[in-house]
Amino acid sequence: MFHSPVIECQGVCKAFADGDSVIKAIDQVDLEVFGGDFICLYGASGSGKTTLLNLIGGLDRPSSGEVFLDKHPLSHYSDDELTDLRLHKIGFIFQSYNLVPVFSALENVAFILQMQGFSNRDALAKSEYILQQVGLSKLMHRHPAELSGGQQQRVAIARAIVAQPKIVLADEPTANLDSKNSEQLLQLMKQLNQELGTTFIISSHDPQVIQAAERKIELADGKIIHDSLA
Amino acid sequence: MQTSRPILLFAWRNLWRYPKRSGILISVTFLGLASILFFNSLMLSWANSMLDNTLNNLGAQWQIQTEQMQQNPDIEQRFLLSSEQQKTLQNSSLFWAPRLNLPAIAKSEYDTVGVNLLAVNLNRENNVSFIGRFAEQEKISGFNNPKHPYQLIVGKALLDRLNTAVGRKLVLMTQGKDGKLAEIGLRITAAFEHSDPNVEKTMLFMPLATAQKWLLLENQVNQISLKNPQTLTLQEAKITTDSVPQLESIKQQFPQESLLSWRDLQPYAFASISMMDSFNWVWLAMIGVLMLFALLNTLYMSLYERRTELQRLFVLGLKPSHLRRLLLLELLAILSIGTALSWAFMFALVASLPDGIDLSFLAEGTAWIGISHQLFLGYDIELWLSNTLQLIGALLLLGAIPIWRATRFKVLQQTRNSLED
Ligand SMILES: Nc1ncnc2c1ncn2[C@@H]1O[C@H](COP(=O)(O)OP(=O)(O)OP(=O)(O)O)[C@@H](O)[C@H]1O
Ligand SMILES: [Mg+2]
Repeated sequence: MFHSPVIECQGVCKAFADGDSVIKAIDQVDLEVFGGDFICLYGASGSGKTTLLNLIGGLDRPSSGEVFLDKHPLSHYSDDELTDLRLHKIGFIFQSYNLVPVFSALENVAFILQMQGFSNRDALAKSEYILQQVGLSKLMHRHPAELSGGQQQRVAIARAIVAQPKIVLADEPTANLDSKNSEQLLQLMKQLNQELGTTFIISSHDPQVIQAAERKIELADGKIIHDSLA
Repeated sequence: MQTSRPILLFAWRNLWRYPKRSGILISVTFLGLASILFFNSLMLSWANSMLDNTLNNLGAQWQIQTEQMQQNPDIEQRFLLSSEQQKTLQNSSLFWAPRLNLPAIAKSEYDTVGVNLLAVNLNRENNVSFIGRFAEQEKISGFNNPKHPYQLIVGKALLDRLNTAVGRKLVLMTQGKDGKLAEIGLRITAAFEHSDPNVEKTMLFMPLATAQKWLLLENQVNQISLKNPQTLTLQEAKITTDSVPQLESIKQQFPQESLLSWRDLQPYAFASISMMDSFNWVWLAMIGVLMLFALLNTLYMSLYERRTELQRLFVLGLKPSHLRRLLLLELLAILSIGTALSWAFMFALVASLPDGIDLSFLAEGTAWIGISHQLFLGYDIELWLSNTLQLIGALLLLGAIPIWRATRFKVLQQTRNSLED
């Protein structure tokens, strides 16, 4: 690739103590992620997908090695700076419990912008626009409990991209959805990836997701055993 | 700050998210605070009633008498009240009342009883002691009239005991200054009532001038009671004689006698009143601890249930300080609602009891502890405010502990097990 990576992992290890023994959840991972990548991280349960996403998102610190975001080593950031980094540069989508239940879809999306310092008006306007983009213009005043699982995940995507982050990290976003909804969600993410150039890293078991991904990375026992780019 | 608005909204919505739990927390706050305010207001009213009764019995606020008067209140303790001294008292702007306070024997046709004879100037007693108040209420005006010197005011209980009545005659005997028994016959003018049955059974009042003539004690008394013209608060009443400037010149005028405050004259009453005051704290602490258990327990539970959500918010980029602000606001809102309810309750309660709380069903008991039948609850704003601030402040401070712990993400919860830690 001619352009420089947005994310780079160099010899990253993450070990957890498990009683007397040590689990190497991530074991010597070297990885370069480029702007506009649409990656699926797959592998058996316990292979280290979530751990790797956490390390990239600055939610966890490696036992050894270094993660770079835009060439800046994350280890140089304080916890508070990492939090700011997540607020401004990274979007997150989880498997479940994505949305704040007391806020409407619109408020959920706007909340992140407001926390970034956008005025109430700007935040709502931007959020309305994004919700239209993900096809929820009619449902944006509903609360999460009044939305289907697929609709909730779409709100989560809208929230993840509304502040135009460089990277969206999604940990098994389709795990709770049926295949039709999964397909729609995937299409939406791909579309945003292509239109906005947002980098997506999605961990998943779901063959649909693996299939749709441009770049597929397989993990086993904390190691990358296959990278379709390589 | 831009971020305050969404956090405020979030906190407000969260309040209604678990209406049952918020309801419990608000009820706990309300019950605890309202009971503290009520109890402490009651205690204050109680202490004030005791103080009022204490200051209105014959001891008043300060008293001039000889050193031995407290042990032996008799004719030997008499002293001259010169016109010079009277002038000083008059100029002091204090209320004052001279008396002869003597042990005596009252004899009716029916019975003979040992009594406490008080020879008083009723005009002066007005404002200083209960008998003055009584005389004023009953419009007893001719008591000090030299044309009708042989009058007597007797307690109702004593009248019953002596099986006599107003209008009848009573014979009094007491020791004269020559050591011999002196005797006088007086007509009973009025019968007073008193919340303390002991006072009603033993005290009787005759004109001071008559007594002085009878016992040949011209211008002599054995006791002068003094009182501030203003109604005193508890704190003011606790002041000793040393720090009252008006008393300085009076002290100088009475070098032979001592000037004692009610604290020294009635140490028991003083101790009880002080104790009432400190009950305040005992009750506050007791209820405070109970509330704390209920509140913290519920708070811990709710934070535990919300830990996934809090963590998600943290992942999305909310700093622990944001989350703390959110949770503290929620707690503050709950405490504020509870406080508002408690205050509303107290205002309504005080307004609905304009005649005070009737304790007459405890009549004997109330007399025994030295208060009136009627306790008046007041709008004790200052007391309520300080109680509220103390309690709510403590609850906020202690509530901050679980909140702080629930939002202490060491990057992620996962690092708990991580090797480097
Ligand atoms: N906090 C932790 N403490 C101890 N061990 C952990 C912790 N987090 C993860 N692990 C271990 O690290 C390994 C990788 O876990 P991880 O959650 O990354 O797997 P995963 O690929 O996301 O699995 P799944 O597909 O089930 O979500 C597992 O063996 C797991 O037990
Ligand atoms: Mg996982």
